[in-house]
Amino acid sequence: MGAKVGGSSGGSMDEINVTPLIDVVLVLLIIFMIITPMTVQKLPAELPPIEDTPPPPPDPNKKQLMISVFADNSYALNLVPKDEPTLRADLKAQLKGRVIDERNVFVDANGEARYETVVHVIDVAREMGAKRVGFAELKETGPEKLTADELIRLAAPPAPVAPIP
Amino acid sequence: MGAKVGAKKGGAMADINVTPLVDVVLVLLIIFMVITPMLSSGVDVALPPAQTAESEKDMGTNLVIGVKGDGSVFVDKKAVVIDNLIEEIAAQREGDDGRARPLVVKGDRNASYRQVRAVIDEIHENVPFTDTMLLATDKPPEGVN
Repeated sequence: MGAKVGGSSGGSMDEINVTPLIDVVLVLLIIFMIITPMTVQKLPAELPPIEDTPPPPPDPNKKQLMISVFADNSYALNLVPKDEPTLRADLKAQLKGRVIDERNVFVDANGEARYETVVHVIDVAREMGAKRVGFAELKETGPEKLTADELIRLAAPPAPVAPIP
Repeated sequence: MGAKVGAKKGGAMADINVTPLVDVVLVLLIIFMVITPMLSSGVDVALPPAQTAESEKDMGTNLVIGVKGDGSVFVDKKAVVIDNLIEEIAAQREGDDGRARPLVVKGDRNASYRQVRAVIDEIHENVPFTDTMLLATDKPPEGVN
């Protein structure tokens, strides 16, 4: 469409060939038009049932994985405080041997914890292979009642507490 | 730049003048480039990043419940108090014929868990089929991991 037919006499280049420019711009335009209905990123989180019926007692052979998030944004796996690398490693080790239906992780967070931390913990659990991640609440030993320090004191006797830097 | 200088002899129209086309296309391009980052459903919040989030085209098919960093709650772009949240969701969904729009909770990363959880619980207790809540997240920052 834009190929030049008549060159004016004498001029070395009297007109720029705009055809490639139009091609590129049109393609960019189409790309942006398609991208515009943007993508949403979504993380699914399971919620506990609302009925008052108590949940079936957990099978003692299958250890539940419960991540607690404390008010100071630190976290614990099954009430043992962890930093992020150890949380990742432990979750991975725990989830590895399980069949897909049992790769469930529960998250229990203190109300004062940042939402970002909670989402991050869900994200880490999914990254380490959790199939379903849900919110749950522990009555007695949850982060709503305890702080990470109290937990360390409670859990201290059996395992030597890892030095926290 | 595209003004024709020499018309070929005899031809009624040897070449189409593309200058106005280029102008229009460039302007459209710039408009789309500017609008693209602004377009997102619901209220504007700083979303928490997540690696494993499921990506879905946002064709306006979700009803977005926003929770800002100060705990204020929004249905789409309308501010509501949490006691009216369910009514507002029902009102917004009224126009949905047949299948109701899925709800997506869009919490600010600086909100506290309590603020977001209050909204999630309120929805979960009152709106059917919300056993799995969808949490909107951001793409993780480049170069992490």
